[in-house]
Amino acid sequence: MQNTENILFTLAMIGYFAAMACSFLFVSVKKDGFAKAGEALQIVSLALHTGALVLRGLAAGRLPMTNQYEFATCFAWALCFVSLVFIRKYRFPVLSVFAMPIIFLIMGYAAMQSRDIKPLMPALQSGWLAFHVSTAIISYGAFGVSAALGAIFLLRGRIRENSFLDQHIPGEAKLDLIAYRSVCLGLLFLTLTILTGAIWAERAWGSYWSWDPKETWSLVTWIVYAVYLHLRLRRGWKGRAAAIFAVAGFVCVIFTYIGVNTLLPGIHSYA
Amino acid sequence: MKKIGKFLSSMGFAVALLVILAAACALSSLVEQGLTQETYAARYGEGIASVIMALQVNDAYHSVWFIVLSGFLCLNLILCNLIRFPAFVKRWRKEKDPEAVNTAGDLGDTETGSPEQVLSAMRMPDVKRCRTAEGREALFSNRNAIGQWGAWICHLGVLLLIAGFALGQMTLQETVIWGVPGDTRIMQETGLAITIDDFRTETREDASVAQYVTEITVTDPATGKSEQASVSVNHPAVAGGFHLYQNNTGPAASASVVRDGKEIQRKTLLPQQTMAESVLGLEDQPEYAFYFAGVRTMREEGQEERTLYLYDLYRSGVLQQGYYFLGEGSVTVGEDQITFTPRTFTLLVARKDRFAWLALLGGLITLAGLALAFYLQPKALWAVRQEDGKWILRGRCRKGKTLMKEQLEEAVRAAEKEEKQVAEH
Ligand code: HEM
Repeated sequence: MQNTENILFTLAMIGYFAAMACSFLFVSVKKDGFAKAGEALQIVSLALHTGALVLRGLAAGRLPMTNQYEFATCFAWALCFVSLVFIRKYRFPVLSVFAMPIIFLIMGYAAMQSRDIKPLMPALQSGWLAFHVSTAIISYGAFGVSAALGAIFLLRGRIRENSFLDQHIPGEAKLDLIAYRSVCLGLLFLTLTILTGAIWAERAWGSYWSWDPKETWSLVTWIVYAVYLHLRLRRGWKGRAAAIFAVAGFVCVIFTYIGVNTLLPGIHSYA
Repeated sequence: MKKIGKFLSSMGFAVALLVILAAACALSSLVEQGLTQETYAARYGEGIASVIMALQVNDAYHSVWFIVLSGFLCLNLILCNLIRFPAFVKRWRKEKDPEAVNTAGDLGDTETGSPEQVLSAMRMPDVKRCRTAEGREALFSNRNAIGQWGAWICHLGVLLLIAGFALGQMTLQETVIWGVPGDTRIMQETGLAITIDDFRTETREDASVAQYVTEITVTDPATGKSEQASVSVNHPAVAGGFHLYQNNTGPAASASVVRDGKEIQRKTLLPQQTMAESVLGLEDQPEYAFYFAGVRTMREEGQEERTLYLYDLYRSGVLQQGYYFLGEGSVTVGEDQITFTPRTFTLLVARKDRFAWLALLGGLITLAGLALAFYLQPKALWAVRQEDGKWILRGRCRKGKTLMKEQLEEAVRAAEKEEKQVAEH
């Protein structure tokens, strides 16, 4: 089973790479066909990726979301899923130019992690864990999409002359609004993540909040996006400033996800 | 006074506080908490260590400045929610008020011949017929008015969350119960006697640990009633309003002192703990004491790994001799024979947080507020009949007008197309 999983994972990774290439061709050669091909490749790769995750879940007898490898591949999965939703909902293929490289990088990070299926230590055997981690994944995926949208917003000024892109990138107001929508999705799920994490920590360690670095950084991330929401309500802070915030917020997300584990000690060091 | 109130309740102040709090949390997370000045000095140098101690960064989340900042945040939230409450009520009424047909809205004007169709395509419910101030025929519909309460509810939730957390921290009762099967401990806070009946480490086929389980009996000396309970990781038990959590385990030793064939003293020792827990003082020969120095593992060529138990004998505070045993072992001191038996201890943490429910409630309210604010955004759409029989569509959507305008234009085009098809027939 692990062999099939590995094959599916590799195929998905190749698919993501091809989708990324298509999206780059789409903006450089300016043929709509590449956008369509890229989207189709993205869907196929997502399906393969889903297959790999399902197989792993079956082999382990639990949700495959408990170590660095599993979390990274789920993160890439969520980013792909959320970006597909936004691409289709807002008819916005250029988003994949920014989303695909991030997805590909995270898959690369996942590929470097150990894929052994290890049994869980007692603290991790909890129904809340599955809930906690799956909400985290959706939230990270949504924040990733908002960061990609923020980046598009910031680069858009430079490429305004390009009529092809003008046609395919929504106006500033709409871009800002879509980024806001994905931050909303992310923040709602981050709140759920923190809540379910607190409930689980209470059951496992006896204390629902102990200022462990990962907890602290998820709070920092939460506050950064709360600030983003408030600033957007003020005149003059929509658009550019909000886009910068969306990108900066995602830096916090990545730090919470990877930096804390590698740089700071704490009870979350296993995940 | 009024100015101060306005500032304290302002969003600008809120943003400033939130930014400072986030920065403070981020910085403090980089400094390991709860170490001594000497340890910080060894890590970062004297200068930085004294700054850390002076600014209380060694215990940042309980420091005066952190509490003051959080206090201001609460004040800010209370004032903001109180002061803005009337405005929220007013806006809520206005959301549902068909008077809007006399206003310009914020989507611009769009012309259509079939307003009902467009309204239904836009999924606007309960369309009301009314007239403008000038007596023109008009249609009005709104939805998600409730959503405008999202921010207010979210702020209330955050406030309750902080209050629940702070009150919980202030009134927290916490104690530990440790021992080996057979030991009974009295929980000072409740007077309950906790007897450890059994402790086991459940393993899987590959020898990895599946679960740690402590079986206990809780006895209330006042009533004489006792109850059995099982505590394992992720499955706390409840006793006397306290939650008991399986927290730790490790090697321990039982010491039994026998004189003239009779046991006169018995104690469970933890390795290298504070004095009281790792020292056996002989009651009848008070100048002697044994210290449980812990365990070492050793492996000789071709043999399985074995565990050594180390004990040091002190006389009047001076180390006399060290002993090590592979399993059980005895030492004779004067007339006393002391037997040490290897055991495994279990440690339960007992906590009582009276306000955890408030923090949880706050969290759930925050979540509900966010869901309302994000996913039930108030929208209103109305149509006013012109003299030429055409209708002008106008609308309002504070947080998503660009998208709503797009949808509206699409709905108008679709309605036109349909109309044309009907006409061609
Ligand atoms: C600490 C003091 C705070 C103050 C004084 C404050 C103030 C405000 C104000 C005045 C609004 C505009 C309300 C409106 O007219 O719709 C607002 C909106 C909002 N606030 Fe706060 N806020 C604070 C903290 C927070 C925190 C910690 C959160 C947590 C996420 C939060 C979440 C929101 C949300 C979700 C909105 C609606 C924004 C939107 O829908 O885009 N606020 N806040």
